[in-house]
Amino acid sequence: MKKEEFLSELKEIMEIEDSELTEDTVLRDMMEFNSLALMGIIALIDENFDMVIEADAFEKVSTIKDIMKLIGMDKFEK
Amino acid sequence: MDGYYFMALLSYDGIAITGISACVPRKRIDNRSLSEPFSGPLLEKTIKTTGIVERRIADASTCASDLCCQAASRLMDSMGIDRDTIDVVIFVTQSPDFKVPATAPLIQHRLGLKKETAAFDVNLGCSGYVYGLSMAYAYATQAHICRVLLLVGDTPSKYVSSLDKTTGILFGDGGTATIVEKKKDAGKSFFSLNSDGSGANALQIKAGGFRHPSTPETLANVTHEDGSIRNEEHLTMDGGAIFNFTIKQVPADIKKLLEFSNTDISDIDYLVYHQANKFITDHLTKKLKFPLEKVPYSLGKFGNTTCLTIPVTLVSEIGTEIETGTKNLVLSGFGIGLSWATAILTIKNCHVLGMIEV
Repeated sequence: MKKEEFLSELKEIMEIEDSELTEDTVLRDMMEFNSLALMGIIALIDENFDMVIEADAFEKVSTIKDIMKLIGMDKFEK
Repeated sequence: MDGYYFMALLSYDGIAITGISACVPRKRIDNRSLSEPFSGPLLEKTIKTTGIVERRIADASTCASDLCCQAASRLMDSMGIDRDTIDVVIFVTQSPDFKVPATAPLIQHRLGLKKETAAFDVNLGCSGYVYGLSMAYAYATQAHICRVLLLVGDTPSKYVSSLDKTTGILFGDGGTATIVEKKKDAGKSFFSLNSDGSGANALQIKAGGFRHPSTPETLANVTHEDGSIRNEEHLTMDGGAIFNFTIKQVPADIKKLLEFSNTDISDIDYLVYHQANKFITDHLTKKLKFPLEKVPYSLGKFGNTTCLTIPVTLVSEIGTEIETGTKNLVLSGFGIGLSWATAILTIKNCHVLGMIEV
């Protein structure tokens, strides 16, 4: 999965329509970040990277980039 | 069976489910009609994600055992079963009639069963039907056991706060009855049973037991940060932890049992999950690369009825199919405990009563 694809899937999960989502977007600034969104993100990562990230790990996450670091930047297709 | 040591894997031959029934209260709760603290787009999104639209709630005087007794009486009458042929009663519940004694002996008496009946309770939730079945199958293998009556019922409405934003819209009440006995052409059946108590607090009623006895404080309702109102004798749920556990353990356990039983997943007619959250189980199905259309759901009508979601789904969604045909099933229960279990079995010409409402 490419970074752009990941961002666009995230956008869908968080139901963001009218604003941009970038690697620097701060997760908790978004109204749509709740436990349902969290479930969606964990599922998205499991589906595409075959890896289950603990829900607790998201407590230390600030930006989208931090999520990508949890997955591992090298796991994204160029 | 090399390589399968140190695991709770069970296999049986010639034992079958021959009858099954389910009973729910008449009173419906429509999640869309809920008021504060539920409302607006988040409520609609929760309904869409979980798949839970309606639930059934028992009145104050109705216990899980009452719903199970209705289901059992009507099933035994409809099958023409002589009550003296019931040798074991297993009652799986999280809502016993009394703290002590166990409810199963009371049920033995209420159903007019003989005194030579073994009767006991099992305290399990989401994994409870599969665990209960594994025990029923074990007893049924015995030469002197004719029939096992497995009763699985719960009334979560009595221990969940209806004002808790996490749990308040998920659960429904009901009671089921399943008859297990020897049957020559039953074929083989397989079970995998698992536990992880390190996650016990992910789904828990903290107080009211003997670790934290009931006091006026544990019964005092508290308003939490998110607007939820509950006390310490209500169920709490850590949805994220449950989700993590489920997607890690459940597909792995299903795969393990398919392998152990030498079953090809393409030979499975239905995969029946514990009904907790459609988003989660759809994700599991995708992970297993199993066709979504072979996964029945009763979540929309009855919600999460804890230990009895699987038999409720068998009756309400694929009742005709298991009554008239031969179906290979995977049953998968997971959650509170933490506890999870998988069964692979064949059901054919099973006596199925339509959903009973009381």
